[in-house]
Amino acid sequence: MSVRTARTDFISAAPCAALSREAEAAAAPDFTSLLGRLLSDAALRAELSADPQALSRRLRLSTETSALLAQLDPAQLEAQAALLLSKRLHEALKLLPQSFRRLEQELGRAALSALFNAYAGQHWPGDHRRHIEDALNFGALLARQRSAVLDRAELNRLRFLACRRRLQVCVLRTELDGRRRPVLQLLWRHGSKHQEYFIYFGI
Amino acid sequence: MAADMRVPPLIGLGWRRPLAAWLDSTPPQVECLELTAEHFFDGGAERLQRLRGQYPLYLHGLGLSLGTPGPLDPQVLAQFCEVARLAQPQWISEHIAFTRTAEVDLGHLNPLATTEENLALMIKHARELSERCQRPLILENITSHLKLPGMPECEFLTRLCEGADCGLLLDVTNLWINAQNHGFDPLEWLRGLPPQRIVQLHIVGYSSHQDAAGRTVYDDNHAVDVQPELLELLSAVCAYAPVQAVILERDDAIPQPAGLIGELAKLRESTVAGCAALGVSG
Repeated sequence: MSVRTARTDFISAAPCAALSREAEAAAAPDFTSLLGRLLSDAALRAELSADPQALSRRLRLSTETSALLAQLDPAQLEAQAALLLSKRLHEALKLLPQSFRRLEQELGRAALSALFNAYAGQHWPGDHRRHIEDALNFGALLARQRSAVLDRAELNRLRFLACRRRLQVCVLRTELDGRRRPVLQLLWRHGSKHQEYFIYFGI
Repeated sequence: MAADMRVPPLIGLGWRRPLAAWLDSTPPQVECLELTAEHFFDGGAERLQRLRGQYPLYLHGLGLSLGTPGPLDPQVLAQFCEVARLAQPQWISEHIAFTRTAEVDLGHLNPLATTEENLALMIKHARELSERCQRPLILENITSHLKLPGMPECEFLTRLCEGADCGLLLDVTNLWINAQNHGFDPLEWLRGLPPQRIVQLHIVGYSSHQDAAGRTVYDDNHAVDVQPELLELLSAVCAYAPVQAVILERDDAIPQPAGLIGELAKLRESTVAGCAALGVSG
């Protein structure tokens, strides 16, 4: 297949002028950092809603940042904060589908979301593997608090995805034909791909 | 008046793991591919090198957080540049947004106040990214429930493109969603941008839900087919700007190849209609 050459005339031929010293000096606004704190901290958002000026004073914000803060719409801020959590829940659902299905059957959708949000509001995993870390952390929480709903095979898979190991062997017990039977879960990695097999015993 | 000779944009897909085998077979309906850099941070060099001989490639970043005050994360930057080195994309792209601060990694895209300070910061980071990767850079508009203070968004985008000497990745769906949620005319907004800077488009169907006050709120969950009103806006953008590529951005509920081919055909029809409309109107 021939590859069409890209047009690059959206970029000027002339070299770019260097940024002014003023612009360099101004390149560290703290409003963004404040916004990050507000989006991740429900108590801080409540403080903002109650008394924006008191929050500005307590955080010793500059006049400029205070002026920007005063223009924030608390309802929009809440909506954006809720969106961040819902996107994380959505990703965790894809990685722990059976566990979430059982949790939803037990608690209902609203309580499930509340449980996840209570966890997620306190933990903000970083880097490009954040969804795996999120699901793994929430799975570990379920293992401690609601072990009956947790699908152990899903948690094993997440542990495998989170590490660099080539092979992982886990023993599970599963209900088959009304009896608890041992199952071997094998996970292995080849390059960037991974595969998984289950070996059932006593069938 | 002579008809415009504009070439319709290439129509392609965002590479996703469930589509890997199909895309390896180079289906003719997929004219170009966008790779998400983070999908290749943990490996996939062979695939990158193979794909670059099969398709025109564009590399898209999610986690560089160009709007974060302070220096770019050196580790993420190095990972992104390594993927760019392997893929040799025609251009690279990131968002006009922040995903983290020094204190917290929010994990998803958040808007920036359109202030002079943030403009200077975005210009600095955009130029650094483009120079480090030795690739042209285009920047994408995001969707957000938050409307932040500052200069008009189009002025911010125009000055950003000029200052960073970069192009725009216009997300048609994000534009439409923001227009609905924040109550503005997307076509008027579009006319506030310099057409020559609009290089690539993203599009995917939108979804909606009711908020606590019973209002309809639109979302970009990347999980449904493109709706007619988005195709209409896509045509309008193609009539306005010399777009080079349109990428269908499905992340969830990804259809089988036949379904995707149908989606791509709709996009092709709309872009050709947009380019033809330009030719007719001169």
